[in-house]
Amino acid sequence: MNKNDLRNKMQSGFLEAAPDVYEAVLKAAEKNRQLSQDTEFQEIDEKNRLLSRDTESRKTKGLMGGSMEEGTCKEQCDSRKGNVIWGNFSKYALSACAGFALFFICLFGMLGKNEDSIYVVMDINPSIQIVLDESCQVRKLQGLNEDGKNVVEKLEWKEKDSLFYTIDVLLEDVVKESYLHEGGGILVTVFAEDKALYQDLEKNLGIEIDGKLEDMGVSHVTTAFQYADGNPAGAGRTLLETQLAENFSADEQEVQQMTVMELIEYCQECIPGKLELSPSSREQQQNPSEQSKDGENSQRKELVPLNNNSEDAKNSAVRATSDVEDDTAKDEMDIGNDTCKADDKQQKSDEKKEAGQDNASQAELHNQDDDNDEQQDQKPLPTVQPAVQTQPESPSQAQPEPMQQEGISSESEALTKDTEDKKENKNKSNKKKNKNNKDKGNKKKDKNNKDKTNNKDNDNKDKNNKDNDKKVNNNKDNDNKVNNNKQNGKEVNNNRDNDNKVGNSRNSTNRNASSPQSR
Amino acid sequence: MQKVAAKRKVYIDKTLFERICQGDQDAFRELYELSYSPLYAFLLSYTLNAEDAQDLLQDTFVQILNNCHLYREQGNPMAWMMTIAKNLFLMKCRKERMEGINYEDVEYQLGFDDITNVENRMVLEKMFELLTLEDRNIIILHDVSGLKHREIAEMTGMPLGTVITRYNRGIRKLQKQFAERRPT
Repeated sequence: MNKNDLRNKMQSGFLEAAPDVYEAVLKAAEKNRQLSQDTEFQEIDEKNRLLSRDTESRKTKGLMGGSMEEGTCKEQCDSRKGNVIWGNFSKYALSACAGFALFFICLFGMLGKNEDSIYVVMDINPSIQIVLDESCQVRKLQGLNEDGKNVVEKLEWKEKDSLFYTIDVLLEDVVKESYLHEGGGILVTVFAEDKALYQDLEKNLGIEIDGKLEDMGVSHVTTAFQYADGNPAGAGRTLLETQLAENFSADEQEVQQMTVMELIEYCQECIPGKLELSPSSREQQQNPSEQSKDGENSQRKELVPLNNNSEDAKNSAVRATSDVEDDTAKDEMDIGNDTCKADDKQQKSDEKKEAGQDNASQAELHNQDDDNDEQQDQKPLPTVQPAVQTQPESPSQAQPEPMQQEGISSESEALTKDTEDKKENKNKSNKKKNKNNKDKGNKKKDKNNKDKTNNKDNDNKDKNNKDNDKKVNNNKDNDNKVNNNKQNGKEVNNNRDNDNKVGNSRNSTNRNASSPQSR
Repeated sequence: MQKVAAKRKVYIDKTLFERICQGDQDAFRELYELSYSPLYAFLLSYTLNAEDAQDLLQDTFVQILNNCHLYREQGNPMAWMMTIAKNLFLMKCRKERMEGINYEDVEYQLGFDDITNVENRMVLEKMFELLTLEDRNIIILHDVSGLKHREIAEMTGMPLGTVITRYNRGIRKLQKQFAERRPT
């Protein structure tokens, strides 16, 4: 049965069941009017009686001056006014009392304890204040800066929503508007009189925020909590800023210009224990040291294996240089966020460069020594060793013996200078040579690789040709055999024919021999 | 008296009250015709007794007639009349408590035996059998009286969501009941 059917049946059912009381209503209404009229007449009669009593009493006393009529009129007017006033006194008194009561209630309500006793301030980059009642239901949302006000205006929230739901909606909006991103920070300040309440909120909010960010796919966000009592004065981060500036002589302007993440990190360094982190934020702080170690080991693994081929060494060198380039590009992008991470990356890149250079120098040595591909392939590569040839001579060896005379000493100094210059030139030339050799080596390698591939192709072709030749030869042999067989067959036939002829000839001679004797 | 056919929505013109205050009996008759059935249903839902509901219905219209000048054009006039009816019921309950009568002990007689249409009677009986007072009142206010959910929420003091869920719950119960009873 549809809703409409039900509705129709209900309406028609009640219409049928409802009694008709129209006339009874009219009768009752008339009775009431009569009663009301009667009461009015009675009131008027009573009033008149009262008035008449008053006038009589005044007449007897003779207090009134002027005409009696005027006096009576005045008296009547005054009495009426008095009656009106005194008659309505109760109403006026009640209304006055109600007004005073409202006034005092309002006063006590303003001065008394606020129901909104809990304030939660979230500093992401917009700062938003959430006002809660005792049952942690949201009473009010307020943006403390321009971005915060914009966010609150767009946010869909209602009074008496739970705090966790409001924060979920807030985080969604903030991530959409790209106020919060990976590597960012959230500072949650809870203003409450009861610290136990703060601790409870801190635990639950931490889990809620971490879970929501994980669902949205935003990682590496640090969430920190701080407790404050008293009235909230502005944003939560101002408390930290003032504390850092007053107690730790931090520059106010610098601290104010810090991002939330930087402020949290700075505060943790200066005031350890002041802030409490959410569970995932704690894990992030513990794990990055392990992650960095893993990263270094993996990089070392890439650079170590050099024993196999020069090609691999070349490839690893190419990888090292490309990694270095990538790291530098990333460093340029990440400036301003994580200084420590940037420093680590630079160290790693330096290590990679050094390792890459070592690999390249080793590759050069191998290419200089070997000409043939087979020899290059066969020769085992040495372990990591510095290129002795390219290194400059130690200065101690190059220094000449000190001369006793000054002129000689000056000459010696000049000589030493010359030698040093020559050494530098040599080094430069060697470096150039090395570069050239590198290029040559690379070219040779390329050539070798090409040749190898060509040779391999040729070999394959030769093999194929050989196989084809073999096949051809086999086919030829088979043909020859067949031909031989044919020839043999012919010869056999010829021989048979010959034998037959011989046989015939013998037979013919024997006949001839037998026939003359018979005559 | 001709019974007005059941309408999907009860629309009461607000100017009727002004005319009633001026003594226009036709206006009062028009108001009565439009509203006596929903008011009776609402009162019956509270009293569970046809006679008491009838008495209260009469008192309600007398109050409306006497106090029509107090009506302020705010919202649905039907909601104003329903509040008068409810207040009268509550006053009666207080009187009876004062007198020592327990209203809940009185056997309820809904008076549906006089309904000729069997299906209509079954629907009304199931309403009073299956539904709670609040669910029933919400359905009567919405489907019989024509009030909107928002108006019902304001009148009863319940949240809008609660009103909507209770309404849907009640309707589903009735639909389920009549779906099980389909003739094979």
